[in-house]
Amino acid sequence: MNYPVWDVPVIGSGLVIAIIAVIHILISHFAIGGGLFLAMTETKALREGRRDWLDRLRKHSKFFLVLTGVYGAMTGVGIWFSIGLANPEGTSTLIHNFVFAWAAEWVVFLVELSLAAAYYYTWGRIPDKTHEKIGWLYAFTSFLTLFIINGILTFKLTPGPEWLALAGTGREAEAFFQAFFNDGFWPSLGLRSLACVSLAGIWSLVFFSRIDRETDGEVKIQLIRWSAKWLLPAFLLMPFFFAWYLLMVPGEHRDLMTLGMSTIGSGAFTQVTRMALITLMTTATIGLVTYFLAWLNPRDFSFGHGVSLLFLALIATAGAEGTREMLRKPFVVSGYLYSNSNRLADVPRKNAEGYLARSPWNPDRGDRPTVRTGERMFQGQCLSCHTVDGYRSMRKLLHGRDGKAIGNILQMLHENAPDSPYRKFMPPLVGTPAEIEALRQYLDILVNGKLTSPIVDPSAKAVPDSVKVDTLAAPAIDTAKKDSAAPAVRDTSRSTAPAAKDSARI
Amino acid sequence: MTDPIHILPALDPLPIPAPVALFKFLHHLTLGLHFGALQLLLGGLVLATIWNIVGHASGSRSAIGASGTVAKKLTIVTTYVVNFGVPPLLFAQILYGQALYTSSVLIGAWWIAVVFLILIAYALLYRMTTLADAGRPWWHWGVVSFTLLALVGRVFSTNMTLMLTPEVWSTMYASNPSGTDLPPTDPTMWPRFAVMFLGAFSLGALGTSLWSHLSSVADDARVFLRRWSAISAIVFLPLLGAAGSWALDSQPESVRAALMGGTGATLAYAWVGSIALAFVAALALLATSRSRSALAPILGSVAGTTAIGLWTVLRDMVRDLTLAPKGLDVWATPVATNWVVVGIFLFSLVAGLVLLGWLVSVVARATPLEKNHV
Repeated sequence: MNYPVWDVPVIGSGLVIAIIAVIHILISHFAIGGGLFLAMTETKALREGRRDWLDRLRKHSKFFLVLTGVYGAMTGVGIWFSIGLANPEGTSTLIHNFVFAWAAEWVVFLVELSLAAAYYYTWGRIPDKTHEKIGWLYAFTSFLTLFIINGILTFKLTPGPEWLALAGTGREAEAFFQAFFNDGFWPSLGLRSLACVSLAGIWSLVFFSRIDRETDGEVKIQLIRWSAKWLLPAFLLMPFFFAWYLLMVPGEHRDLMTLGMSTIGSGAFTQVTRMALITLMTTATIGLVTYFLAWLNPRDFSFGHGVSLLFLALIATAGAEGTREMLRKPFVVSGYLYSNSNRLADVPRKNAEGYLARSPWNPDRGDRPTVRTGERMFQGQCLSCHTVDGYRSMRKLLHGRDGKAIGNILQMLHENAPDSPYRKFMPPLVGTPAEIEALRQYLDILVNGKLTSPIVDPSAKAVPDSVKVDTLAAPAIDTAKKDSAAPAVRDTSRSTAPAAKDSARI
Repeated sequence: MTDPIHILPALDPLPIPAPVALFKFLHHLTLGLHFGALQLLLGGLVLATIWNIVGHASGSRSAIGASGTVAKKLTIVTTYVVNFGVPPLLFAQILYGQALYTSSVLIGAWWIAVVFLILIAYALLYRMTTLADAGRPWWHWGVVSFTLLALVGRVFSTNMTLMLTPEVWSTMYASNPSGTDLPPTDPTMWPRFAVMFLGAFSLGALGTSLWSHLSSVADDARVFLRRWSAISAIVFLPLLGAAGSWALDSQPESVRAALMGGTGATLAYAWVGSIALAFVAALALLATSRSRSALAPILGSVAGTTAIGLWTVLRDMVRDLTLAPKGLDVWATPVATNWVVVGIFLFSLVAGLVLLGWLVSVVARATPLEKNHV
């Protein structure tokens, strides 16, 4: 535990990122696809002499500027802030590796924002050709931002053997280009580009749906149909890019999805598979709604229809991003950094000397672990994915288990055996036996309100009091102290079961 | 109290990918740009809001005109405040990540709230522009927007101060791991805040006077804008100087002595000199408020930009002097440079500036909106 862990009650820090990210992606992908939409539509309108289109497009570009410039830009900053809070170690890794990629993206973004503002503010004030040029430059620079950020995002799942070989040597910068143009780069760029184009169509459908069908029926029909066409490339090409993307996903990560598929029949499929299915179903629904409501009945396409499509796109985006994030489990950077900020290479050392041995946040430094140590273990190794009472609630997940059963689960997570059902999506529990015992006690008190089984240090049974019972919650400690000598009061029959059901829930 | 050296998180095992000096240079450059835009935004927002109140209360067309002129520019200024704010924070994370990530987590709820506070303040600026275009009062939104931005300033000042005080981290984290506390003020926090905001009302005000030269500004609004920008600067520049002195005095003795014993003293006196020059420019602007001369606004903006740049460097020196004895010596950070990557970034920077230059020339040649033919 190198950095303090941001404890967000109920929703957890991961969901903070997810909520901001989904909104950001819905807007930022429009910022990219929308740039192409504006440029192409203006070119088409000028070539075909449709001045009525240009008037609508000018208004569209203001909507575009405010939406992407204010909400898109700020939610982008929001993702950066939230990942820095939720996972400083992972953020630091990415920034150390890609700081100049990010800096270059900033330069491009600076130009992009300026072009977007100039595009709107110069309608009718500069020659048409120059205005068109600004539009196309915007489209190009906005795509460039996607190109750059895509390299950083895909690195996390597929950092590549060259970078991993150098990881920890201090020579990681030598593999910058291999890390950037990693195996997932091109299929992901294809998928995201298609998403950008289709989101440009969806947002434009929302915007043009407000054209009055009585007074401007003809232009509404034209622009609604033109916008609807923008969804076509995604429906034609996405399956191809998705298959390519899956092929590039490392086998151990792909297993998470295939595990879910193979257990659909028993109803125990994994979250990642569920999310992928949600994306698939909502995408199909978007296709049907667009065809029947927008393409066949463009004149009657209402604002409510447009917003409904946007809502479906929001769900599809959330599902797709959730799938991508889940596929990476149990890592933040596959093969290098676990989702709870433990580096793969550090696990043996931390198991030997202690998870908190070098931590600035160790409450019992230089002393034997206490329940306070257990709390820090929980914060450092569990809170990145779990909460106490809300999202992936630890109390619910461990409900009905006594101290011994909790200890067995922790031991299984610690051993991280190749056949462990948790291994595919949970990082190993790291620490000395005494630290793990402290965590067991903390969780026992958290879940059961008191210690339900005797205090045992598995590595030193001869000194069963090697773990002092002491906690921040004073009343619970007193109870725990009193009960600690009592035999286990609950049925521990579940203690050895590897909780296959949980594997689907987590 | 825990020994602060042992409360610092371990350095990231990845070396930084360019020399510290290069990151420092880029950090200073972009942070200076950010501060400049920020002071223009805050100063412009306060002045324009007050003018809007006065204008609508007294029926003064010149006040309403001047307030509208400034208000309509604030959305685009905010775009650059946000955009220029990104790289300095990025480079600060590279150089001072051990301290900055930690302090951010310790006030996590406030730190993430910053995003939403700015978002609302930013959206309100667009609302103000719409109302200003319609000739309707908008000052109430200006008050709300400024209040939100002031709160953002408080959070930033707190975080930038908290990252320098690892000795309080452990206690803070033990008492509140959710980061909902904005800690009790460190003696250096309010001076930091004061310099930024008094700078906005003085140097930022001088910057707004440049907008009086836009062709779309009516004569009476131009005179009003120049006069009251100058008065604001004249009133607040001495206070800014005092706040600078307060900021220095509030530093621990060891930091103050080290700063004033080296090049910091030269920079500090240069800062005072640039403030004095800005004051002279403000007097000249007041004296020539009825003229169309751009000399005083330009002189004031140059002096203001210099002051902001010097303050940026001084602030960074204070950070290094404070953190080094606590275990974070930024100059000792391991470096492994990939010059090809650095070169690509520098190329993108130059290409971006060229493109921006072209864009500015296009916009400058654009015809006024009245000649709109679309």
